[in-house]
Amino acid sequence: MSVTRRELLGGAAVGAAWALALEGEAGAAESVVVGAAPGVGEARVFAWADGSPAVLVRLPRRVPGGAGPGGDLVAYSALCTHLGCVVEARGERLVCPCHLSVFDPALGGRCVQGPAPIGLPRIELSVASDGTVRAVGIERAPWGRHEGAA
Amino acid sequence: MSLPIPPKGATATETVCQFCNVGCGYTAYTWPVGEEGGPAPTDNAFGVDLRAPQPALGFPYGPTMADTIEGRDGVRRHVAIVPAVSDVNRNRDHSARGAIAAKTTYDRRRRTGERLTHPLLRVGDALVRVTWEEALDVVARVLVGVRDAHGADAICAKAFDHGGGGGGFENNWAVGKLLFTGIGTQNVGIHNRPAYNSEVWGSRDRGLHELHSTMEDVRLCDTLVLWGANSYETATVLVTEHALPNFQGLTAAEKRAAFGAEEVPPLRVVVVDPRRTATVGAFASLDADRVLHLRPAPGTDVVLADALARIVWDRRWHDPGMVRDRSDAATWKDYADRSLRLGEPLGKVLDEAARTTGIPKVELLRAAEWMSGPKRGKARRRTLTLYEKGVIWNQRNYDTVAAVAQLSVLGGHVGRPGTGCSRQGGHQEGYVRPGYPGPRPPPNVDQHLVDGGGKVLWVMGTNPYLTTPRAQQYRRAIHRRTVALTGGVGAERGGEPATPEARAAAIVAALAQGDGLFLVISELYLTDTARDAHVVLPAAGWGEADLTSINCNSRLLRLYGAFMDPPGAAIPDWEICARTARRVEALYLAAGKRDDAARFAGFDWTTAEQVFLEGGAAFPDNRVDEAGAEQLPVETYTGVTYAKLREVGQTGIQTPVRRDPATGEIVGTKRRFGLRFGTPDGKFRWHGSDPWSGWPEPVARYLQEPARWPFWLTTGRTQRLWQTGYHDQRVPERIAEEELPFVELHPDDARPLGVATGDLVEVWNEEGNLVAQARVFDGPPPGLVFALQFHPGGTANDLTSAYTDPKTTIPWYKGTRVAVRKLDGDVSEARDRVSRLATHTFR
Repeated sequence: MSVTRRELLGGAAVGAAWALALEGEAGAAESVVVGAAPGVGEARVFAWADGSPAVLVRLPRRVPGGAGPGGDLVAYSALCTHLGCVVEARGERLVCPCHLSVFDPALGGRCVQGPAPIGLPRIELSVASDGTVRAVGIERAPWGRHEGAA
Repeated sequence: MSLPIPPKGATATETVCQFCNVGCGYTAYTWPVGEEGGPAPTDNAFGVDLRAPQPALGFPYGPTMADTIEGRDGVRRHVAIVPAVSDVNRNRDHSARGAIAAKTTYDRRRRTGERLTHPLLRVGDALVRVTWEEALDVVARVLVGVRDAHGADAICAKAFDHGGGGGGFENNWAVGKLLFTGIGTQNVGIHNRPAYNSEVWGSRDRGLHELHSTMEDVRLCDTLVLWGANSYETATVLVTEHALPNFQGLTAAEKRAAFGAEEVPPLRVVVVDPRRTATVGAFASLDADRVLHLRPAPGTDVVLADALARIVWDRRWHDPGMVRDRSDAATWKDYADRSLRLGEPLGKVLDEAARTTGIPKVELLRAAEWMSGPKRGKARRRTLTLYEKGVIWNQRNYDTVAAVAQLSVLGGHVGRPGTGCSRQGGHQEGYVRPGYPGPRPPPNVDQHLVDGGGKVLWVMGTNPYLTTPRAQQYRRAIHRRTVALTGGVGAERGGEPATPEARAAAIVAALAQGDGLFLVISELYLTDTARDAHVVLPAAGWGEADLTSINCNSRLLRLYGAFMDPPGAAIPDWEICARTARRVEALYLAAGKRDDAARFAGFDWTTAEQVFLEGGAAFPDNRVDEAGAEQLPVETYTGVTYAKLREVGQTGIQTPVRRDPATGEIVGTKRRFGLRFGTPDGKFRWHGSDPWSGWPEPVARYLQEPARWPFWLTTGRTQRLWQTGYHDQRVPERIAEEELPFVELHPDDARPLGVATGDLVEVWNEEGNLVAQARVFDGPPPGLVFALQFHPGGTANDLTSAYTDPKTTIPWYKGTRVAVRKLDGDVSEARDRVSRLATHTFR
């Protein structure tokens, strides 16, 4: 499992990334290099800008908002929106091992089962011509991260 | 948007979730917009360090838990509603429903701004805003006029009777006092059904009130039976916080501490449900070998329960002490003959049961063993059964409930830690009312109204256009009758009488001719039913008035504190009832009818607590010892005050509450029926099931034409919508997740129809029609269609048959026959917005 950490962790830059993310200006945050896309139907865990776990999924089909030439790449914060456990990629599902909330990566991270109150925060991707995937913004703060969090 | 942080001085109000039976504790924080707490624990009202990322299972404050509101003082405030710590949600666990409480609060800038704010009166066939005085004067005058001319029973009602949001002891007492003590009508139905009945007389008549176990029992049991209960979706925190930890072995130390040397086997789970539900899938995803899923044919659960009991008896797994010493010998024969069928060979009974239920004999034997087979060292297995609408709303409500209860008592699974046969509950409870003045079984009020009976219908906090059986027929009939009245009150040229007195007189006169119906609604929103009303009364909701309730799974009585104003001029239901009664009393006094006036006296409450205390005084004397408490009504709380409830906070008090005869001390009841049952002699009363005779006529006639009506239809709920979705449809993030009514179809059934997930289908029979979005996966077995019971966009109750159990007048909502067809046309947009993932799978 390849986890590419963002080069600059901690400090003012992260705080700035947070403030931007919290304001919903996805795309304005500094980007995180995730690496090459995983194989079809596979997932890869990576660290989002604040170091919290995120997951990149290559779906078996093009989906609305999917990145890359196949429109099949999506990424989400991997912290369950219920109580912050790390979701696992299980086939077509992202499943929280703690209370079994299920998220659909093909549908914007929507919670389709379980106690999670809301879908997973979506991470915006940009794919370079050499195939390198970068995470460039997040829909909202990952679970349990508040303004001023470092 | 960043999440607002409550400052140190924010108002913190302890409350309990307004939604499901579990009743998780919550704290509501309110503070003026512009004030802001800091992330340091000393700088915010949470006392939590928000600077560091929360660890997993840490403080769960998230984006659905805050919003802004505006009080009657015009001040805009933040509101944050965050899971508290209680015995129910010990680790601030919460469901997807409770977590959006802040989003359900009233604010004129959000879609909850559609709340009713002022009384509405139908004038010139339009609902117009009037004052409380004018609206209630019309209502009171019509009530008096109809009661005098046609008798009390011409006034019909359909009213909430539950706890949690909108209900509670205060509102229930006031509603009962107005309808029963005051008006004196027997034509009252309970919010989700057409009559005034208990859904569980089959258990209560045995001396086993259906709420007797405690949440701890879910963590302590050896076998958990979930019968007709999709608990993972409808009692979520009971599963995530109590049952799943037990299943994962995380409560073993708690068990060993409670049971000493007794064997502590890994939890086994038996789920009885025709459909493979998320509940089955959740447990099976952890260890499928410890999950047994029984899938009875619709309507046959009574046969299943009695067959399991027969196996328990033949294997000598029953509790001889329970049968000999704690149950009634006189009624045993009826049970032995008719339910256990001891006069017939076991093999014959089981063959018939397997054929009727469709459950293989080997599964029947295994289920009985899992429920009542002894543990190592012959220790009696600790089995907890939780049942809900799959039992209650099955065919033959009374016998089915009785059979499930008796199976548990026969095996000795009541009154000890880790046992019980309780209903799971759908919502919370809070019942205290004067006695219902009608017969048992009670009249079917909805059918009575459809047939032209009654002159007035007052609907309180429920939406029968979606929730009543055969809702389509009911909707058409009520609509037609209300329009008939509206057309009868105006002059030929269209003008209507202008004063409440003249208007009411015209209404009463019009009601005397033809079958017009005067419809009054007390509600939060202008529901489908309310759109046809003549008077609409705005009620306060959860968090807008103090109320008290108990949860189902531990009978935990707590105070649900008010933390915000009701919208506009809205007032609590108890106050609507009180103001109506006072006006009726005045009218009767003015007419010199002192006896009638006296019926409406005693509505002079000014606070919710006064109503609570008056209701509490209606219970039998609770100055009793522990054994005496076994016979108290389950809700008994006499002696408890709001001050006491504030003092105990989220700890609450478990009802029934007794006052110790020696010390006067208030004592709660952790678990019931360990000493006696709730009968005069303390002994359990048996009941024999009627013999299986096939399906009742209203459904059997469909079965005679299998080609025309090829599918069974059953119904249920979804994790993410509460009841009819009255709040959820106004929380955009939530309704987007369940945008349309849906049905689940097995792939074998969907294929010949050309139906795939996302397609729109029409489901219909001779009762009604439902257009819904299809979800195709192997949740329902072939031949069975599952429908979400209610959705703001359509209700499966349009398809319910006319059948009710002759012993109880409870409908069989869960089984009817239907046809299905695919809608023509392009549905790609709808299809793209629905998940293709089966909702019962976690692997």
